Amino acid sequence: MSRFEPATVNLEFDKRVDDALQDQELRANFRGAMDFLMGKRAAMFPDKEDLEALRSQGEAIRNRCLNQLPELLEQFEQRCTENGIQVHWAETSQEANAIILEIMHKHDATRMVKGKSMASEEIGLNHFLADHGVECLETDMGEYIVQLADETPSHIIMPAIHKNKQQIARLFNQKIDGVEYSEDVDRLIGIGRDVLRQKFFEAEVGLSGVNFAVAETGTLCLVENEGNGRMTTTIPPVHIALCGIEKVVESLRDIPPLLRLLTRSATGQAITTYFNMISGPRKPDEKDGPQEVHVVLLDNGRSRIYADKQLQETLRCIRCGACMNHCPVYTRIGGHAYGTTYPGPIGQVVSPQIWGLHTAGAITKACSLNGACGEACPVKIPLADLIRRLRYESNNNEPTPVPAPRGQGSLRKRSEAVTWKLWALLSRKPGLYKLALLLATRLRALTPKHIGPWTRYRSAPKPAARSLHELAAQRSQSNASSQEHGRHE
Amino acid sequence: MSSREAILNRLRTYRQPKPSQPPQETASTTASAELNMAEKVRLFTENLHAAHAEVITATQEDWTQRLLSLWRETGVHSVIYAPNTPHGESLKSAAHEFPELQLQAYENSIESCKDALFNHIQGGFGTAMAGVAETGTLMVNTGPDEPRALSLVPPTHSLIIHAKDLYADLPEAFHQTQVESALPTNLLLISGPSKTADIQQTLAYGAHGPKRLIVVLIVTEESVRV
Ligand code: SF4
Repeated sequence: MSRFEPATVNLEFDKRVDDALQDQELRANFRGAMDFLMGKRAAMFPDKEDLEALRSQGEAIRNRCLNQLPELLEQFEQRCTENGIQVHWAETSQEANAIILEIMHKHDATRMVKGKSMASEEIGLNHFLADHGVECLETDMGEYIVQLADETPSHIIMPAIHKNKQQIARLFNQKIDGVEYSEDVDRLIGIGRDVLRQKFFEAEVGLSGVNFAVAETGTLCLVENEGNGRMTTTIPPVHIALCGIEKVVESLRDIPPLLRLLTRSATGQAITTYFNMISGPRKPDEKDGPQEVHVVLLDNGRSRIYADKQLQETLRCIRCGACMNHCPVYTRIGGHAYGTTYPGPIGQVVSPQIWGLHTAGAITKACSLNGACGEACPVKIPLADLIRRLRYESNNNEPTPVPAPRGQGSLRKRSEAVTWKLWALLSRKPGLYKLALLLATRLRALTPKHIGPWTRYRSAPKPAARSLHELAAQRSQSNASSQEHGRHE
Repeated sequence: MSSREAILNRLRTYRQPKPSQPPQETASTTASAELNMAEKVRLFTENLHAAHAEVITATQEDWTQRLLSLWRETGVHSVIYAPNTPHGESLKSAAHEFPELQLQAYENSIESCKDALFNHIQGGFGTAMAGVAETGTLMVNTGPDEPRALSLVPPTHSLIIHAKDLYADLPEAFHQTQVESALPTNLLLISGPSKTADIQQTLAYGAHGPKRLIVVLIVTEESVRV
């Protein structure tokens, strides 16, 4: 999958899953990676009680911040402006792309280096800029590999997790001039480092995501290990940060607990190599750093998610990826099968809400409701409940008091709706119910052998010869008569 | 209506009512909350070692000599440092002990030294304002006297910290240093050399930033006494 095409998500979902399940190499890569990440996380939280306390704290902090979101956004904007950071607001992905392109044009810039940003994947920035003659280079090693292979990330934290080192060795050998085939990881990273250093040196604009935005101080926080995030935000003369509106927290005091949860849940690290807190462009007496810093606050459906009390829980997410690492379905089908920017449990919740149930609602099928995701989630998002809710909304066409998820009712099938109506009717009328039971049991020979996808891998269900009611009635009769017998003897 | 108004209006319209009793936000305190100086030094050093950093535990008197000889032994011959800082000055006045060393002050804007920074200079030297024992983290307050690229571009990053500036955990470090009231353009937490595990979960150092992190930890009699 070389480019994220929202329109294909529902349409090609089943096929993507089938293909992924057939790919033994892919499955081995994911199995290995997920076991590794789950193990690392578990080692970081040896004490169950501590973990629970920490998760409750994370949940409470995020809820408090979301509850004052409009005020915090305004405060964040004001502080940023005072600090010299330029703030832009984008309601849609088109608007965000246009703002970013305009900044590029203002500086006659054609070369952008990018730090990891899932929001930029969400708005399809790379392809948009490429179509407008801007070279846009991913610099996170995993993202760089994925871009070189003309693919999309398969995991929100480890984008190239679907590839093993042999595949990456082949890729480098084919795509980078003068690089020999080598499976030595240090060597491969060294090659990436050399190529990208030159790009950091030349780039006119650096674009990054944001992990936390601090309202009280107007600060952008970035979490990373590689240093590409720091390069992107330090070396080019202009820095643009793309920030989902839900990322705002109240004060600096909220950062340590959230950071603690994030890095431990994501990669099992007590802390990442770099935690980069940016509160402005280069000051007159400073020697380096960008001369201009811009923040693009991205809505793209988030304020609609905010409207629904239950679905609002989605916005607590700190994008740690733990839910996908713990998901038995994700582990087997991998990230690309979902066909959207955000895969795994959080993807099943976020994607259909951003692109609409009519576009991406089908991926909510890929869930056994086992709940492992919600148990791993550092901010206690009840992911399985939200997936169930979205399944319901896909089939629901009743009006709701607040704006419903886009595409509500779009997966509703007439036949299915009629079947449920009929069932509800039967269950309320005992006479009808008995009649239906009688028909089902006496005419069981007529049940069809093939019923849609159900019988693709399973045999068709067949009603029993007698209903449970009948059997129970029979038994109590025969018991009664044998007791009668007993008394007479 | 502008996008800004549209977004804010929607958020205001659909905001959930505030919970009458906001939930408790205190988590159990971290194990490192009450450490004495020697314990902080030990934990800080251990964690840095685990993160693949090198630690020189030195005194105010011998640190320049120790650092210079490590540079010499490991082939770090050209270093850029932050002038106008006490440690930068000490380093400069001790540099004659290592005559082959090219010590360059980061005095002008990056535009004038970008090529050297990216292609020639092997090391950067700066100061950390505080350290966090629990995670082996260095807090670097960048600014005119502590340029950002020092700790980022050259392959070897060395920095100095005093044991008295170590705190048990991050909340304590934020609180005690009162960074909140005067945040610099760029406040950095650094916890090791740059690294990545993006190729088949195999750890590799020197992804984009420094491959080596050398921490000079200045201790006094009191700070090592248990
Ligand atoms: S939903 Fe929870 S577990 Fe999943 S990415 Fe978000 S914060 Fe992490």
